[in-house]
Amino acid sequence: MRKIPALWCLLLLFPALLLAGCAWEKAPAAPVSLMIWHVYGEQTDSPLNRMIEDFNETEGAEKGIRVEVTSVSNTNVIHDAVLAAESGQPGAGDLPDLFVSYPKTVLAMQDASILANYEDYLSEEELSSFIPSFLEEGYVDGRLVILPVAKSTEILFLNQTAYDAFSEETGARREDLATWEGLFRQAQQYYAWTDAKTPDTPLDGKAFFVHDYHFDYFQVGTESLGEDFFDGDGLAFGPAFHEVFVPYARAAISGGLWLGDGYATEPLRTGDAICAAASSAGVLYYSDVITSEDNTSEQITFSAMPCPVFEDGRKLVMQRGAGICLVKSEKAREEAAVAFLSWLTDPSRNVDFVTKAGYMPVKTQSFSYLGDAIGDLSDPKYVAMYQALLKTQKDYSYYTTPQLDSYLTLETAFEKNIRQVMRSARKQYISQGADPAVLDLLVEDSYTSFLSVMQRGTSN
Amino acid sequence: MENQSCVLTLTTAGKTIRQGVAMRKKLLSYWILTVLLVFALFLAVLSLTGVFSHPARRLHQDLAVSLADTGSDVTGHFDTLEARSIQLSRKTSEELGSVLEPGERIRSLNDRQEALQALEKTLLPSLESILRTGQCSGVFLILDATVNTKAPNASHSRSGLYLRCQGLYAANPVNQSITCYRGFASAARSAGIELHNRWNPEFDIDSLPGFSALMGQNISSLSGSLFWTRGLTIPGTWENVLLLCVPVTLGDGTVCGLCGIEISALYFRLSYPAKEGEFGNRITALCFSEDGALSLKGGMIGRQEGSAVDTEQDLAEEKGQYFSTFTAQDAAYAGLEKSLPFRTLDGSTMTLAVLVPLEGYRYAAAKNTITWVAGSAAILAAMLLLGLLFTGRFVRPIEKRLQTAKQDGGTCGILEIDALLEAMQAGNSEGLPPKVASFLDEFRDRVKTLTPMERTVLQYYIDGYGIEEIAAKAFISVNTVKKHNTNLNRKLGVSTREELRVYIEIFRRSGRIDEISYP
Repeated sequence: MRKIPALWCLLLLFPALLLAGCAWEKAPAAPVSLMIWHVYGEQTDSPLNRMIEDFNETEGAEKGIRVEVTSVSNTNVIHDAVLAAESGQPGAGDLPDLFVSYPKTVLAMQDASILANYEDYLSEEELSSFIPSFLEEGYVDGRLVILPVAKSTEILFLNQTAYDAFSEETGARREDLATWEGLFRQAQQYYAWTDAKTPDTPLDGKAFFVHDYHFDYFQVGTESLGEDFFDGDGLAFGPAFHEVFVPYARAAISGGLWLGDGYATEPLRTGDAICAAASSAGVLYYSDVITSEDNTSEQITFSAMPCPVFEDGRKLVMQRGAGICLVKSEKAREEAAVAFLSWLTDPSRNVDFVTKAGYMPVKTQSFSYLGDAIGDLSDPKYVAMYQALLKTQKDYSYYTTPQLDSYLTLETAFEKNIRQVMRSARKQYISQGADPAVLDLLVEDSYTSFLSVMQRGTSN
Repeated sequence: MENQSCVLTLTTAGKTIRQGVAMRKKLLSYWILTVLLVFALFLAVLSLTGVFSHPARRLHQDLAVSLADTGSDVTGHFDTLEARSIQLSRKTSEELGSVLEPGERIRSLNDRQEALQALEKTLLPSLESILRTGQCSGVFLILDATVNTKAPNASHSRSGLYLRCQGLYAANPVNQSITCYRGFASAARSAGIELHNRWNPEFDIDSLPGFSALMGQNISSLSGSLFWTRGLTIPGTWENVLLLCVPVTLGDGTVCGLCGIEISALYFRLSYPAKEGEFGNRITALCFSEDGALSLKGGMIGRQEGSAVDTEQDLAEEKGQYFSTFTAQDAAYAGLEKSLPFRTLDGSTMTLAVLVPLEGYRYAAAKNTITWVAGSAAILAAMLLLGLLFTGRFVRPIEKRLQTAKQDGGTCGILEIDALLEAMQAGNSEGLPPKVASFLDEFRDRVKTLTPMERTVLQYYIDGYGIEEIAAKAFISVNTVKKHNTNLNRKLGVSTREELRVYIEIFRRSGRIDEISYP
């Protein structure tokens, strides 16, 4: 009888001993794999991709987090992809864990509650380290759904090499580019000057100026003149809007304004324009070489200056730079994503990242590192851009876009219609022999036409 | 009485112990044998049905199925791209035929900007159509002619078109945003296509392996002359791409350009996601093997979902019975590989591998072993424990009732044992050994020779009285009783009173007491 309990005790002990013996084989850690769609670098060398590699090899490896970049594009493409994925369009795929977005994308989503509220993960102290106006832009319906990681503003970039030649022959002054009125006058002048280069081919001048977002020009311009650009869910089209429209339209109809689609970098790269109002982040995409259709290239230098303002207007400039949205999932994934974003926005590291991409850092403390980082920059383009950026920060107020549900619709319609109306007016102008006498009339006609198209388009 | 009781108790206890142990042991032995038999059968069934198969064999099955599926996908994918590229080559040849006079060489297009622009505008929709049909991230066409022979880079600059997807959806190419990486800006703008941020009007053929060597050669078959490059970095970008290059020929079969498609590393990653499995995520890797050595350099990796396979490494392959072990610089994988029938520029063999982290396999295998061993031990222990419990529950009441039956002459409650006791009691003499029965018979016969007084004294002994009690009961003196005792012992053939008592007890126990008692 005494042997039996001993027997079954041993039997029960047996698996325990085996399990203990096998315990050396620990479960391999399963890293949390996060997908991100971002815009930092787009088609060129991506500074964020390199940061992500660094994260994956260091802190990510320690914490079992791996960030995978599954798209590097621009905000417009990501906007479309996010809306397509959210609405489950065929072939759209799944939303990533993290994507770069402006508030307009969040506002256009059918259900923004699928985005995590960063306030659930970041303490008040952590949030207070961000620059308040940058953080403010990320609140949609009272929830912090867009975390800033890099911010930009609009800067005026200039192909200094081409401008010097133009200036030398025409006496155009760089100082005049401080105002929109001066800039558009020079745009007309530049078109005439380039047209005159080939007397045998009339009306083949080149555009002087290109704007990334025409909607931004009108919005900031109107607001800087003390008038509301928006009226409820629509546009106000008040007297200040007309004031902003006139010099723009004169330059456009005269041929001095680039009316093609796409970002400002494109016509600057081909030499089809020499001056651009664009995001400071555009510096990553500008090339020091202009290449023509005949495969001839010219080395150029870029200069930069703060965005122009109206002679009677306030020094107001658009705040740009999207933030990063986090799609809700399991808590562990969300925490991993926030860990990555916290790493990226660490004051010193954030400066390291943004100065490679042409942005401003997002935390107050980061600005104490910014001076040294700018001092270390070797590319004259970047140096010029950051000098302009610091001047802008000193002299200008930032304008942030209002959070209207109709914002995206208005922006899309505006960008499309203003180009169409201007192109049409330009054609008309050429068909009438490019007679300066009809220019003012065409400007007013195109204004009426544009208002009509917009009112018709947005009321549908 | 004390001595007698002691003998009986010992005797009884001895029998009880021997009987109890035997019963328990036998029951437990049967139970253990049954358990082991059932367990062995259970394992045999599991083994035969494959549930209990070896983890390495299961991994092999997993990998083999995955490799077959992915291999079929990749082969179909690449075949389709080759077919489309050949079609593009033919279309380009046709267009060239309409631009060039018979016998005119491609170089006659040098410095003819308008002709080249027109050609690109004509061919651009074909390229765009291929890109929008999907399965690739870019499409290109390079002609062995340059727009400006006087340009400083003219010797390695060639005209052509290169369209690339911007912001990829692997599954929805129709809505893809397309950029022009190489080509005339006017041609791209006429089609509403934006320029790539690293746009240039012409290709630098120095960064395109195989181009120069192929130009001017005469080929008989497009499919026999096409080739895949290893991964290249697209100049000015962060992207690595594989290029499928198909020669473009003039009417006489002379190669005058290349066209084909691009698969970027990102596109490959989106197209070939990791597949979850028992041993971890299965990763698709497109490698190249040369002289038996496998290399990820210039290869492509599908989505990794947590792994970190580096495409800049060589893989040392060690073939095993069920799978190969691929060792990179800082990681090891279990996997299977197969050659793909696609021609490469450098003559290496394009190889498709399906990999799982070796660590994942080891963990799964160890977990599997632990689970089975622990599970088996637990089942065995549980069954044996049940055996012990059942044995105890079965034997204990029998023992208890047997004890009661011995002491009180009652039943023990088990039908068969009660019947046995009854039979023993009924046929006691038959149940005694013959020699003992003979002794008892002789004793009984001697009792019949006793005088009436001696029978009376014997009866008192049978009834359990002592000498003094008998003297009192029979109204005789103790000495008289002793005198009768002497006669009793002599007549009955016993020497002591204890011996007499043993006889009496034996008669009683064997149910024959009546034979020596007064009727």
